[in-house]
Amino acid sequence: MAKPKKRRKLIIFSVIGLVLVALTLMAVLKKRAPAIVVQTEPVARHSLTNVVVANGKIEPVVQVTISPEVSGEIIELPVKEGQQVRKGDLLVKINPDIYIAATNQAMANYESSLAARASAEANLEKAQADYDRNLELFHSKLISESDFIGFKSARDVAKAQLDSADDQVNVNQATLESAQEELERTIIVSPLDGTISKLNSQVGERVLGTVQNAGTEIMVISDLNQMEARVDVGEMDVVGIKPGQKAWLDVDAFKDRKFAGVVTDVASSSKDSNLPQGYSTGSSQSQEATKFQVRIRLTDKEAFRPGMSVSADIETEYRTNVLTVPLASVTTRLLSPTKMDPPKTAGTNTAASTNAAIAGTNGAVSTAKAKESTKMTDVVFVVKGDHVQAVPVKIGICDDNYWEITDGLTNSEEIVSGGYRAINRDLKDGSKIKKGLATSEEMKP
Amino acid sequence: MPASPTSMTPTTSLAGRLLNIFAAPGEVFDEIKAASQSTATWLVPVLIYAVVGVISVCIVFAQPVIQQTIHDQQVKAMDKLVQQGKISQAQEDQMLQAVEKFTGPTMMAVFGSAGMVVYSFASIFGWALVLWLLGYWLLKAQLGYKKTLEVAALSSILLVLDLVITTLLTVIFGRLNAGPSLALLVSDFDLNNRLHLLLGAVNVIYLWHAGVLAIGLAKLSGSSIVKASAAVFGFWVLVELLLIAIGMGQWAL
Repeated sequence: MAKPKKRRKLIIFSVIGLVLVALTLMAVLKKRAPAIVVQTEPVARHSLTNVVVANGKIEPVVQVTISPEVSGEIIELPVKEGQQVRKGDLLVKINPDIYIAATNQAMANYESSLAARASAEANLEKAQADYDRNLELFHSKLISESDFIGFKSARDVAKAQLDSADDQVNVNQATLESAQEELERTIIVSPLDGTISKLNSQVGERVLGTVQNAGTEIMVISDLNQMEARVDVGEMDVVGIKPGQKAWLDVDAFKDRKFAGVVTDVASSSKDSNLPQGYSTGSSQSQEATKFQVRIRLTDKEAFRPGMSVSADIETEYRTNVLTVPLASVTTRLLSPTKMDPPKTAGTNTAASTNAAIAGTNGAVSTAKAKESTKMTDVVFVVKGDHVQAVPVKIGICDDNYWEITDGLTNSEEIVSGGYRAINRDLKDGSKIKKGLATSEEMKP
Repeated sequence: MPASPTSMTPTTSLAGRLLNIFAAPGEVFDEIKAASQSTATWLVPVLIYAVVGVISVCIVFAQPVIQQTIHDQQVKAMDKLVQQGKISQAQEDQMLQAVEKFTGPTMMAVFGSAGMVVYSFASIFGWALVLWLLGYWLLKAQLGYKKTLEVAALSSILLVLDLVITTLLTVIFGRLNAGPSLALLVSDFDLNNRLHLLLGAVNVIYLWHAGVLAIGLAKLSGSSIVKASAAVFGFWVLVELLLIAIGMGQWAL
């Protein structure tokens, strides 16, 4: 009786012991890591348009600043801001009094010089006649040599005086012409058809001419029929922009509308490079990014005004039906050398020394490649069952939603597309995952 | 005169009794019925239950996957409140920060351990009371509470085994509620799913424990094992179903 009881006890304790030992071994040997909740989607094909966004202002294509060439008081200003003018219309009249007086003075000097020349001509005529008459007498030895020289000198002096009078006439004539020109410049007419977009001066103001100064900017005339957006593009993006590219423009004053445009010009030098060498713009400006001006002609007509703010989306590149992944799917990781392309192995060689040399070289190459491959690499996490694999990829262009993948993925693969924290921090090659909806915490960076 | 059979029967040590509960619980309870009351007989198993429970809690809450699971559950619960409009997103962020501060692994282990000690005493005293009431009302037997306490305490060694197995299964499978029950068949156990709770309640060790209690009740009351089993199992099933029905199913596991 005791023996069956003992056997039963032995069996029961043995079973319990085996179960505990087996479970303990399984617990010790099995590593568990928390599964990371992710969202996934398949790799898909899309058409992409790479867009460069830039901000700027709308300005007329043709814009002329009117400054006077002569200084004086404005006595007539028959135009106002916003008025349309035609080529040749009177814009400004400057007080001509001093210029009239200068012209009259120049005229008087000119006429005086004419009279002086006439007098010199008459003197020369007389001196020439006296010379000719006394030459015959000198040859007949009826007068002395010294007397003859006197008549000769008189003729030469008269000739020189005539030349001087001639020169003085020319000088006075040029002065008269200059005075007349300055008088004409007191009347300014429009050089083009356009609109007075800016009027800085009023009747009675004294303005400076441009002869020796920058001149007063009286007004600006613009052709508002042809407008362009002048936007600033950073140096990283400007290399992709070329004349002829399409652009879509968002003008702040016309919300919910997009205007079409075409790139017409890309600046060859940056805005800061126009400053003289050694010129300092101040501490705050010296840290601004380098910008290049791009001009975009607006093809859509609208009542634009110079100075309106505009944001341009310039379409620089297009890709049709290419492999794409969501923007959030691509991140960077430091991949181990085994994940990168392995170095090519050497061919077989019977010579042991050659083999050793090759092995040594391969070792050096492997070490060099290992060092090269430890840099950060663009990766996408590909779903493999309940784990992920970090796959290095090559990316092309992107738009607002997708990256183009040029190498590393195929059409049928499923990749991790969210949450933000999982992709950028938590996921590693081989991490265990669990598909589910993103919590608010997982969506935060 | 020859010695009476009972006086010849040697009494087993407490350790022997605890071991014999697994293989021959009837013999153990016969000794308990014949012997005088002993505090050590119920106190030592309760203390063993409490200590193993504390160790189990510390091991479970030290698992990264368990910490992540609890954290995910907390975040999901907060997100639900935000979606229902009961709290704002900013309030959720503040609450999560406070929760992370006060429910880290150490704090969870501390509170869990304290709870385990209280539970171990409460469950054994509770089962003792149940056995006494079942004996009095259903089996019409006057049982001493201290005797039922000794039976309940000795039977709790099976619950210690359940704790050990559950802890090992939790570490292996990396999820809570991974006890020796039909809930192991469910990969994504949901405490709000009544079917999952029912499967979790079908625990091999709990059934064994109920059987041993039934044997103890039968021995103490002198009634048949069938009647005692009906009483104990009937009570157990009723309580499990009631807890699951009123939404407190996690206490049924």
